[in-house]
Amino acid sequence: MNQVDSIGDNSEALSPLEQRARRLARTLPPDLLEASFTCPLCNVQTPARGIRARPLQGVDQGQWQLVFVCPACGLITAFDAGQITPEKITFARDSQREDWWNELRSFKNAPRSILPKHVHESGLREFWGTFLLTFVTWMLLIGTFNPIDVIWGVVVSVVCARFTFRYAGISLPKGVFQPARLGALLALLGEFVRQLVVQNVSLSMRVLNPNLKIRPGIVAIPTRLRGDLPLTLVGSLSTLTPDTVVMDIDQHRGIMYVHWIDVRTTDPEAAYQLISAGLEEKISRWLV
Amino acid sequence: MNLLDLLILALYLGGFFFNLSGVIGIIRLPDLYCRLHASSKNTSLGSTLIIMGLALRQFQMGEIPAGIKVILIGTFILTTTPIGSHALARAAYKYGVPLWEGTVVDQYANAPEIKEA
Amino acid sequence: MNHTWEFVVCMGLSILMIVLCYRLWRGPTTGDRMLALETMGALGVLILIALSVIAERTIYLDLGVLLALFSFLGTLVFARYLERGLIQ
Repeated sequence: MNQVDSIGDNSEALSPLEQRARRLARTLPPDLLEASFTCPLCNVQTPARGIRARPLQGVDQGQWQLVFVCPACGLITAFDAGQITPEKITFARDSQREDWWNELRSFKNAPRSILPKHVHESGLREFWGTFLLTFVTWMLLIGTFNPIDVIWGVVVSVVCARFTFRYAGISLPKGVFQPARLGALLALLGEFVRQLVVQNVSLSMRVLNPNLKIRPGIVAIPTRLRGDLPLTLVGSLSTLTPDTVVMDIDQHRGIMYVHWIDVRTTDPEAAYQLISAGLEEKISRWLV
Repeated sequence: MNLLDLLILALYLGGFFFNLSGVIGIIRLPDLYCRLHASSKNTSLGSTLIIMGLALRQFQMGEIPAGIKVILIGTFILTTTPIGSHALARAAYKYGVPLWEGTVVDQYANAPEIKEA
Repeated sequence: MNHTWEFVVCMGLSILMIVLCYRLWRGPTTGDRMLALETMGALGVLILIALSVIAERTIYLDLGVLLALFSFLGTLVFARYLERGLIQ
């Protein structure tokens, strides 16, 4: 929301597309100010005052689009030239809007709808994932298994999952708990525990050594994993296990920046072999 | 003094040792990023060991739900510590906390801009 | 039942927390102070659990859960504040 609002009037060197987008957003027809807009995600009717011009992000950088930001859920809906749906905007009066709509219709180059960062593509799978997580947490916190507690847990979990599953985005990939994969999971856990103990002993020795032998540095290592869950796993596990703390992950290029307390090599491939090759191999055998 | 008591005592001692070395690391190490190592690794393993001992103790006292809850807290700490230290490391670097002068290499300094997914 | 060991563990962890106050007091940057606070939070959770064993009251465990949750949340919010300069 702020990002959209903060596009000020520093009007030097605007592209023609940008100028057009801004003009369209500035010259909203007067009755559009009184219109209401139905958000396609949460179905809440809100005033359509919040139409803004904003730069496209991601692969299409450099282009502009007109968007409406739903104040309830944050969904950003773009007005695409071919996809204008005036039915979604209910006008108070039916006048003075023809030329604005015509101008908008000729305004090309915009995808239809962009999900904001905190809203995920979600369906029943995500709902049940969120429900299960909530329910298990509830049962662990309550700690007793009376029927009353279980029923309340189901009710509370359904309500919580209904309202949060679009934002949580929790869904396990298919077939993670197949018997064939359980072996890989056990191998991952074993490797994790072994490395955790070995690493902690080595770090303790390093810290308690009066000479304090450290050679810290930040190195970039490649990662062959993609997707949220595998990257989170490898990030967390390699923060806990080898000599490293993960600083940043570049998903597009597949690079992990890690702070290494004892830099033995700066060559990415050798560092990869030393730091995360074992973990990544076990994670990919489990998940992929 | 049976075998379970000995196991619990060993868990306490091990956990306390790792916590102690973590705290010493936080005091001794030269810059924030190195201190994060001590904080995230040693403290999480030390906490996990002590929590395992305490959970066993609860089981020994016959408080099964309490023991399960203690294990839940341990899992929570073990899960969240690396995430917190990662967030802190990145935020500190972006904020401009300097690296120690003995740092060997910094390949993050001229990294290409990272687009968030 | 005799809970001497838990008491000793409690004392030891409290001493560690006091030692950490040095980093909280001196820590050259705000991040160091936050780091010390986070570690003190984890130690505090341990102390609360040990107290629940000593006093044989399971209600203290809920305090431990809450402390773990909020110390993590505090770290995240603070890191965001440090990175962006404002919380939004």
